[in-house]
Amino acid sequence: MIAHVAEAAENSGRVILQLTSNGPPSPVALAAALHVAKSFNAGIESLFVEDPQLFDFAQFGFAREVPSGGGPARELTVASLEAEFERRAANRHGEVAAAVAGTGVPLHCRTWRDHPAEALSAACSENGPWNVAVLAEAVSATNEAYVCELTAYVQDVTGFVVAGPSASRTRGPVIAIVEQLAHVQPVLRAAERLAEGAREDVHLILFGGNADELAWTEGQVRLMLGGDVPPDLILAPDLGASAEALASVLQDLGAGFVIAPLGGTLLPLEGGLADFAASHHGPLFLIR
Amino acid sequence: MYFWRSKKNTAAAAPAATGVVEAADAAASDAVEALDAAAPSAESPGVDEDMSGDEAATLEFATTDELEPFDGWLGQNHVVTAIQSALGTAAPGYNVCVLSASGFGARTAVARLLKERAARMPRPPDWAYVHNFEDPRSPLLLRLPAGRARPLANGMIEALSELCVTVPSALESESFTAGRNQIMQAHRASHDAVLTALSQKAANQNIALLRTPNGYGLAPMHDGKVVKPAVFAQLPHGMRSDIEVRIAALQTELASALEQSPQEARAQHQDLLALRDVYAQQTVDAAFGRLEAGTQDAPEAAAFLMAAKASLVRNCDLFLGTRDSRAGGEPGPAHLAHDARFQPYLVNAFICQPIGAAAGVPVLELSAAMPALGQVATAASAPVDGAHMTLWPGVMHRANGGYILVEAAELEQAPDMAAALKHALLTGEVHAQHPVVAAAPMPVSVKVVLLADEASYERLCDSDPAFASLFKITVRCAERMDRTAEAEASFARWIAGLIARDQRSPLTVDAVAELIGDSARRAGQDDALSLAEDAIADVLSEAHHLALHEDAEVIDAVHIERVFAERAARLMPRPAKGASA
Repeated sequence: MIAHVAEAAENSGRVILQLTSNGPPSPVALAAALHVAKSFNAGIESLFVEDPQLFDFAQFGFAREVPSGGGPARELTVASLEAEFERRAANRHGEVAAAVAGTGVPLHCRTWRDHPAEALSAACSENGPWNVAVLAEAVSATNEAYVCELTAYVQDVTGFVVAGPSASRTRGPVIAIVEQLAHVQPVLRAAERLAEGAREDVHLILFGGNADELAWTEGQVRLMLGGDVPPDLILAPDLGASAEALASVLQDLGAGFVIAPLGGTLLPLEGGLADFAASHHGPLFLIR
Repeated sequence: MYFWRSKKNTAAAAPAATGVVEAADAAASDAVEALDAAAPSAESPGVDEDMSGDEAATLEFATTDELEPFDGWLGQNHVVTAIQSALGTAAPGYNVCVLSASGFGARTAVARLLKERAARMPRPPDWAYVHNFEDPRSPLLLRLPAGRARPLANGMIEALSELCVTVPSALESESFTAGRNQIMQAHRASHDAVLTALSQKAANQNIALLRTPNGYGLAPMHDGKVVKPAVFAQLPHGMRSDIEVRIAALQTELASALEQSPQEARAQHQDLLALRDVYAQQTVDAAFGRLEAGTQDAPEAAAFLMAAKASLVRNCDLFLGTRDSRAGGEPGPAHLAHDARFQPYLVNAFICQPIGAAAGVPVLELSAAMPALGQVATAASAPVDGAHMTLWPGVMHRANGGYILVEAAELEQAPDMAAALKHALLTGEVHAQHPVVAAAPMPVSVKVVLLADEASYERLCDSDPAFASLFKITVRCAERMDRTAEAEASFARWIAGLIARDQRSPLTVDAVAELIGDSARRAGQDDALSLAEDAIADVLSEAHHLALHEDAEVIDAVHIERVFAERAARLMPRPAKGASA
């Protein structure tokens, strides 16, 4: 759980940056990976995944690759696929190494041929006590289902960091969005760690329910936190449980990192992640 | 012994000459009239005025310190009038040739006359060469109000310097990045929608749409996963054929959909360019605001700024990476001025009138060593886009709007200058010579005073018959004037003027009388006075040193006589050969 990440004494966690052959990593996703690693004294594992299904496909005599930019279909062979993967893996790892250089963050690069979800799951199960997976490819409508599948499949992970296609910053106040009372303390501690190095503010947003329910929740949170919380730390707007309204609040706050629950009211697994990510200009730290 | 009585303010009381000049334009007429009023009149006393015997001057003074120095050109009123007439006539060819033997102070007097008049004339415009964005090989010439070329050039460098900071900031801003991402997302969404629909259609036929490293592929699918080749090989032949046919059909459909990608990419590129232009335009507008406000009365400069702005918006990538990270700031003006990328936007302040001066036109005294048509400051291999910055003005450019004083002897020594002068006077324009580009010629308006002795003038006219047509007014300097009492009084004041000019000791009235007598002797007749200024100045110089040697505070007749005596002694004829000592 996120509580693991929040513990300052734990220095053995990892940030696993999952890279694909589809294109260079999102600059914000890369910056977010670095930010998380620095905030929690963690290392980064640059993980390039080769999908074995493509090698199965390449063995068919009728396998053809239709160029994404148009043009005639080309024959796809195992050999050409391996050569292309090798080249791209070197490029992706090089890009990560260039970003990490000089930061003091440990970096480990490896290439793994497995189904992407299984590769990530296996990588996360190797070490503990916590892992944060950062998806280098921006979240969009085309891979939203895959991301949700990942979050359901990969177990040994504390959370997923993703960025929308419009993401352009990691600076700005850190926003912790909480739907369950039990998440308040660990999420707040994680937010404080993320904000600490960058000297950003932290805001806690209580989401879900009507105005009465939010007021009750706010009271419980203040009791839980001991009453020494600044008044502007907690925002409990009567948003009518609208993701669009919350996105507007985040815009007004100039939010940087946003920690949000995945699979709840705000971001159900059935859909909505791509739209929410598209409306936010910073990275999303998704927790279950 | 002469006894003179000072006559006060005779020149100031002189009536103004009338009907002499026709002002070149309305703006200049006031200044010209003022000059005419101040100029010595033909009727002013002490010069050429006939004097009655009854009014023979009996002016009294002890030394020349008591005299008001003569403020004019003694005995040459007709020359002054001719020059004023030529300068005030706008018609072409009304330049003036002053014929004078050497030693009569013509050059000094004419130069002074021109400078006094020039100081009162409205300032001529500034000129600046700029890049021609439509035709780079033909730099443009901007006409600007006086004193505005240099501020325009400096302002342009400041604007470029500002853009080196603001353009990268704008194009790296969150709002620009967000806008760019939105455009890309919108185009990607359109692209994704097609692929999603195709993927769903394929999935309905148990066929997977796969992302390959460089595109997409279609493979048989079972239970959400690609069928292993070995398993596929075990399928009945008919099933395999059916799958392959369906894959081929979907592949054709996929290829057709992706064929739209280049057009979609072009559309996205256009949208991104439009977004960039909006941000660049806002930034450039902000940087040029002050410059544009200063060119509201200079339409040519305003048009140039508009063209420069449009070019800068199109080429705003120039400013990316211009910030000097080592220095922590933007490149300075010196750096910008030598950066080839920014040369087309720089302004060559070609002719600049002094900033802050209320009036005044240039007066140039030509010499043979001066470049008439300007020169190119750098090698001819300089890029065309920056060629306008390599143009330097020549004398003809710098004299534009004002006066040129040149001696015939100088023109004889410098045929190129003579040709340039003639061309400028005939055509009314001067070209800036450049080996690579054809810079727009500068319209010129100059008045020329040519100083010549008789022989030089004749040679010039003989060598080029058209030359005389360029100097429609010719005037000959007087070498002597009638010796009247009034003339002698003026002569004494003229001497006082030379004393003041050359910083000599004052003369007693007797010394002045000696000089008048000498002048009459040099004139060759008792009733005339020679106007040879150099001769008088030389005697004054030698007498001054004699007086200093004796610690005398004034130059007396004795000193003058000693000068003449020593000169005579120096010229004593040598003893004839064989004569005894």
